[in-house]
Amino acid sequence: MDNDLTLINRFLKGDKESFNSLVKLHKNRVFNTVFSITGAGDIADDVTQDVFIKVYRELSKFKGNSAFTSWLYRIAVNASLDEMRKRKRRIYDSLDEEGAINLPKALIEKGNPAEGMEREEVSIILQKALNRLPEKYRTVLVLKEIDGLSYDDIGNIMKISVNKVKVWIFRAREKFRKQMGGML
Amino acid sequence: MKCKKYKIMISAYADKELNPVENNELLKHITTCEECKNELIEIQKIKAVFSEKKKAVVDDYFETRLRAKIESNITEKKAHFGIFGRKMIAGAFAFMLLLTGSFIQLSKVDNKNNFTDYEDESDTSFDQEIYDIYYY
Repeated sequence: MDNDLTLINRFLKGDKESFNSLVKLHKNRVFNTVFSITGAGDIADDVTQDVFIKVYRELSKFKGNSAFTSWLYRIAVNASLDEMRKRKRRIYDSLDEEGAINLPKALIEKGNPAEGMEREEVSIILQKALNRLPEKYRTVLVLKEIDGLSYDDIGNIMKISVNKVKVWIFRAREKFRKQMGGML
Repeated sequence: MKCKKYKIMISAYADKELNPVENNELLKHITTCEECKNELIEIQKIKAVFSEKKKAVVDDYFETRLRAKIESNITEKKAHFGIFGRKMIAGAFAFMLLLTGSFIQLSKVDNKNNFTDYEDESDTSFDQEIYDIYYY
């Protein structure tokens, strides 16, 4: 987006406020992606903070060859996967013990109260099913279904070919369907 | 075997990622194949469920915390340089040597696909099988 590039150029010329505007523009999108991959609200908050700290430090390395959002997503996806590997456990294990996903209600987008409960239940069930997928399938599915990215963008972010994206998304949906059981 | 290929195409069709030729081929097949027609319905159900998922958003203090972290990072860096600055210059040569070694190692890691680490054998062979059916 032109807006991103304008803000980046201003920031690189010393206007710190432009970085805050970049954060404002992208913080919820990044958080939602990180949350969907890691499956836990507190982890997602820390990881999202780390993502923006990395962006702050390395923005001068952004060449503008691809969209800023692709670069941002790549950092977010890698940070999410690194964090999960660091913890050396699958996050859903702890979620199952608690019987609920660690997603504070305050963090959830406010919607129509009448349909709120139903949507919240759907969100929790869906997130649990996502958490049970191998990480490569979870990641492609999140980038496709939650972020609405094209196969081309997903390929660039994950550094895999578009053909592989196609096959992985197919496979991810098969596994996701199994995890959802008869709930679809 | 043929339907396996079409099932991958159906998944891509639902994402509007097929070219016009593939699109026509698939639509022709779907009119005659009940199994693939049902597959498309199933994919559409998955997409509908995802569209219902609530978006997680950051709390009101996210930016305040981020600014504080960035500030403390900058301060830490400055303090660190003040104390160790001279030693760093003295050890620059040794560091450069180390860095070169690390860079070679890191390059190897960077070139590795992040998403191969978690592939189990059955996944890999399954992917290859589908890939072969669809593309060769």
